[in-house]
Formats: sequence, structure tokens, C-alpha cells
Amino acid sequence: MDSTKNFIDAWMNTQNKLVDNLMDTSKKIQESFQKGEVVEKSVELYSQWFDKQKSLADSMLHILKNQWKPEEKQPDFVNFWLDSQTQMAKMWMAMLPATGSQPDPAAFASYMENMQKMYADWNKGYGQLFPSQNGQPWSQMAQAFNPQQLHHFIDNTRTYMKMFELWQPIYKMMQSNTMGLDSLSKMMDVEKYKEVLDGIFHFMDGNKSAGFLDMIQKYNEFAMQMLKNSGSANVFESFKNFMPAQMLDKNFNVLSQISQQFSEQFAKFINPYFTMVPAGREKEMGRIAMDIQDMFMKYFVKATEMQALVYQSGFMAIEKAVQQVMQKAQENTGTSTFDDFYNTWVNTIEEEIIELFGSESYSRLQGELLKLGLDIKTQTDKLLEMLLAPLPLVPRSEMDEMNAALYELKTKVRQLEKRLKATEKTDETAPSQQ
Amino acid sequence: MQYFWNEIVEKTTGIPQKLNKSIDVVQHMEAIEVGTSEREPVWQMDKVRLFHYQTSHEIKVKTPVLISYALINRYYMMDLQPDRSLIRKLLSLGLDIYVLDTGYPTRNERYLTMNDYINVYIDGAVDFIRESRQIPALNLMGICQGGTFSVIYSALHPQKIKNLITLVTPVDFSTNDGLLFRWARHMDVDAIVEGFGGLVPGTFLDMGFQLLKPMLKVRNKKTSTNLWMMRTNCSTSCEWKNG
Repeated sequence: MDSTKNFIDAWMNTQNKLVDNLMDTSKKIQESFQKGEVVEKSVELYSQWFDKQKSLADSMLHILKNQWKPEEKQPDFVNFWLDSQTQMAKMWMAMLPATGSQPDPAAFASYMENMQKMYADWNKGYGQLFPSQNGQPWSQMAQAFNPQQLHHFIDNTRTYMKMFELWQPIYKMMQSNTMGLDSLSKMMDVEKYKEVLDGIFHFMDGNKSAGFLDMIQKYNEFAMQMLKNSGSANVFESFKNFMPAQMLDKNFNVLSQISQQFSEQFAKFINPYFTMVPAGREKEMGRIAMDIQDMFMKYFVKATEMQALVYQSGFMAIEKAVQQVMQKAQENTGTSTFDDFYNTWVNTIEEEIIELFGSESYSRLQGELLKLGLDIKTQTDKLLEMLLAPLPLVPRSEMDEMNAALYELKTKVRQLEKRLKATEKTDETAPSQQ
Repeated sequence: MQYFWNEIVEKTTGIPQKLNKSIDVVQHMEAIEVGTSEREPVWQMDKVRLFHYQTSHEIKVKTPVLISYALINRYYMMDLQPDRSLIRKLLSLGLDIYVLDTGYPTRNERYLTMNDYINVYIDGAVDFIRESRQIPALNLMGICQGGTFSVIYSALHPQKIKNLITLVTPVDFSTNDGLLFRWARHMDVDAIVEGFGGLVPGTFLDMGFQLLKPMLKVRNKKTSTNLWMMRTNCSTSCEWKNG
């Protein structure tokens, strides 16, 4: 972990210097205000500020590159992560000059291209919890035999077929009495088995998240356009590489910690920029867009962790299933069929998965993941409202305010009606005055 | 090995025709009517309606029964078809049945709370029946979530309830028996409600229920799969053994 510590130390140290630089520049701007030289000095001060920021960032990248030693037993995905972050920092610094003067259309186009690529990759590769948030009811699918149903049907069929493919070498080895649990791990097609698990649990099913993530992309395009070439890019560029078959032994705490540290430090890093943008809708949209990207990072880390837990259970299940089938074959002379193996595997993996689902760690992780997913959606809805604000449309939040007012009014009317009824009853039962 | 491939060819021949036929069957399937028992709406507050079932049977139990069902489904789940109907069975036994239909909520209902469902809607229906039938108390039958509401209502208004009957009603939410209880403990309900715009969709619950039996779809599809693919029966195994 020394490298991680050094990385974070170096990063934090640089951030402190960057903030000091900003404060120093702010002080000079205040002084120039007092002296009435703000117009003359502002360009010069900005230029100085930028040069110093760039120099510090370059220095930091240099230090990080030399300090980080991938061979120090760090998982590959940490390297991917660091590469993507340093890449993002570089892009940020490359784009920054345009923000202080006139926007550079070429830089902006490049930025947007990267953003689109980033989301296209993300779209293609990820998005598991979102189908329920797209608002597409299951009843729609059930109304007719539509292509989506056929897709699911074929998906499930594939599970059977792929398990059949996995079964063939196992069966051959059993036939030749060379099968043992130690040989299972050697001859087992790990990638193929992972595909089986992906198919069942719909990991990496980009189709399901397409609508939602396309929407996110458009929000971001708009928000980023408002902010003129600012923000981060390629944050997720290398995420898609995080899904190799060897992911079972990855330490997600490391990724989670670095992600947290990075988010905090990056916020410090980008804050000076936000102080320069005037307050308003665009600035708020930029903030929300940044928050959403940050939440996506966290969501990805958590979702990957959950996926790894399911893989672990899946691998335990196939070991147990093979063991059971072998034992059965040894105990009687009957032929083991693929259906025997398939049924044993289905029963075993269901037991393993249900045990996993019932664990405290899984429940907590699922709760965190759900909250992150819904927070992303809430923020995205907020962004959409801000995006549509100039149009003559009534936004949801205003409708909600109206619904809240209606609810209160109805409650009051009911209470009054109840009181009136009680009074009428009292009047009816009261003795006449005459 | 030739037998093996013959079997595949045999099993896969005609699959396109079968698929076409199945699509045709699904597309021309007649609509199924549910909730066919005769009833009339007798009271309404907002979207919530109270139905009273008509009966030709002799009323043997004079105290009427109000059925409170879950919000996540509709009241006609108890009256699916003429031959599969709890309502018809209860009517045939001589019970006088009312049922509360909470309708389909929209964003207009996003601010409704449990208090509204229990102390406004159920209470309103109970008071209506008590007043119209001139009785001090009635029998309350709660099913699923409606049972939970009924238990709470009976505890708050015991003078209005003669008998409480509950079916598949969760009461102890601190139990570890069942994945849903465990999962719910780690869920941020406020984030869920806010994230779904105040109206949690049925698909969200559906996903949770599906996860309770994660391999169900794979298990069920095996039979269908066999139409498409081969099964390794003895003859296939023998082919391998020999070659």
C-alpha cells in the first residue's frame, strides 16, 4: 500500500499548493480592486494563476508517474484507475486555457467526442440496476410475444447450451477416470462460465441501461456546453477493462479508498474554476453534472464488488456440482447425463446465491448500490428540469408543490367536514330550546 | 457421433414453424376477464372505492366482512375467475362481503401516507358500512399488506371491529426469516421514494421478488431449451465413450 499512500500524499500536497496559489491570486485581485487596476491586472493575474496551476499539475503528474510502481503487488485495476485519473488531469489542464479567454471550438469538439465515447463505452458495457428505473413496465413485455421476450428466451437457452459446452470436457475426463477437483480449475473455461453467470444475472447488459444512460449523456453534453470545455473526461475510459476473469481476488477496498480520495481531491482541484463562473443555472448544472459523474464512479466500484461476490458463489457452485456428480458416478455404475449435471448445478448455485443474498455484507452492499443508483436518478431528474427551464413546460417539482398543496387542502376539508358532521349530530341530539 | 447429430437435426427441425405458431397463438389470445362477481360501488373517497358484492345465497353471518387488500395489487386477485374466486366461496358460505379498492396511484397521490390509508380510507369505509348497516362493529379481513394495515387499524379503533382475520400478513419486520426483511433493513426508503418521484413502481418490487428465486427462469427454460438443443442421453454418452 506504500505506493497508494505516496500517490495520495503527492496528490494532496499538490492540491494544497494549488489552493494556496488560488488564494494568493485572489488576494492580488482584491488589492488590484482597491487600487482601481482590476481591468488592467485581471488578464495578467489570470495568466499567472494558470501558469502556476499548470506547472504544479505537471509536477504532480511527474511525481506520481515515478512514485507509482505497479509491480508492488497492486491489482491491475488500480493501475487502470490511476492511468485514467492522470489522463483526466492532463486533459483538464490542456483544456483550461480556453476557459479564461475565448472558447476553443476544436478543444470543445474533442472534449465532446471523448465524452460521447466515454458514455458509449459505459453504455455498452454496463448498467445493471437501471431497467427498473426506466419506467418500462413488465406488463408491456407480457402483452405480446415481442422481440425482447425472444431475447430473454434465447438468453436463458444460452445458459443451458453454454453449460453443455462446459460439461463436455468434464464428462470426458470422468469417462477416462482422470477427473479430480484439482483438474477442474485447470481445464475449466473460466470465461465461458463467467458468460453463463453474466447471462443469468444480466451483468454487463448494455441494452437495459441504454435509454437511461443516453439521457445522462445528453444532460452532460448540455451541461458541459454551458461550462465551455470544462470538467473531466475519460474518467470511465478504462473501467471497461476492469472485468477480466481474474477479478475474483481483487481488493475492492483499495479501489474504493482511492476513488474516495480522488473525488475529494478532484473537487478541491476543480473548485477554483467554479469560483470563476458566475452564479446561476449553468453553474448549478455544472455542479450537478460533476456530482453525477462522481456518483457513477462510486456506483461502478460498488456494482463491480457485487458482481465479484456473485462470481465467487458461482465458482463455488460449479466445484460443488462437479464433486457431487463425480461422487454419484463413483457410487453407482449408471451413466451421468448432462441433465443430471445441469440439475445439480442449478440446485447448487441457487443455494449458494441465496446464501450470499442472505448475508449481511451483500444486503448492505445492495442497499448502498440502490441508494447510489437512485441518487444518480434524482440528480439526473434535477438536471433535466434545469435543462428544460427555458421552455414553457411545467416541471415536476412545481407539479409536486401543487400536489402537496392539494393534499394539505384535502386534509383540511376532511377535518372540517368531520367537525361539521359532529356538530350536526350534537345539534340533532340536543333538547329543543322552545 | 452420427446418431448424436441426427438427434439434433430431429429436434431442431420445424422450430421456426413452431415459433411462428406460438407467436400467432399469443397475438390472438382472447382477453381474460377478471373480477367477474357481481358488485356495486357504494362509497368513494378520492380514488379509493368501496364495493359491495351481490349474492343470491342466504346471508348466514349478519355482521358484514370488509376485505382490505394490498396496495401492490388489486382487489380482484380474490375474484380471478368464476371457478377460482375466494369472494364467490365466501358468498356461497353466506357471508356479506365488502371490498376496498385503492385504485392505481399516480404522482397526485405521492404525499399519501400510511395514516391516510389506515385512518382515512379504511376508517371512512368502516364508518360508511357501520352507519349504512346500523351496526357498531364489523368483521375486517386483511390480506398481505392490507392485513398489516388491518392489524394497525384494529389496534387503533378496536370498538369498530368485531373480528379481525389476517391472511399472509407480515407483522414482525425485525425477523431474519426471509431475504426481503434482511434487504429492507439496508435500504434507504427516502432515497427510493425520492428516486422514483414519490411513486415506487411495481417493477421495483417485482425485481426483488424475482431475486428470491434467482435460478427460476433458468430452471423453467430448460424444458423449452430441450426443443432447441440436444440432451445428453445414454446414446450420446455412448458415442463419446466409444470415440
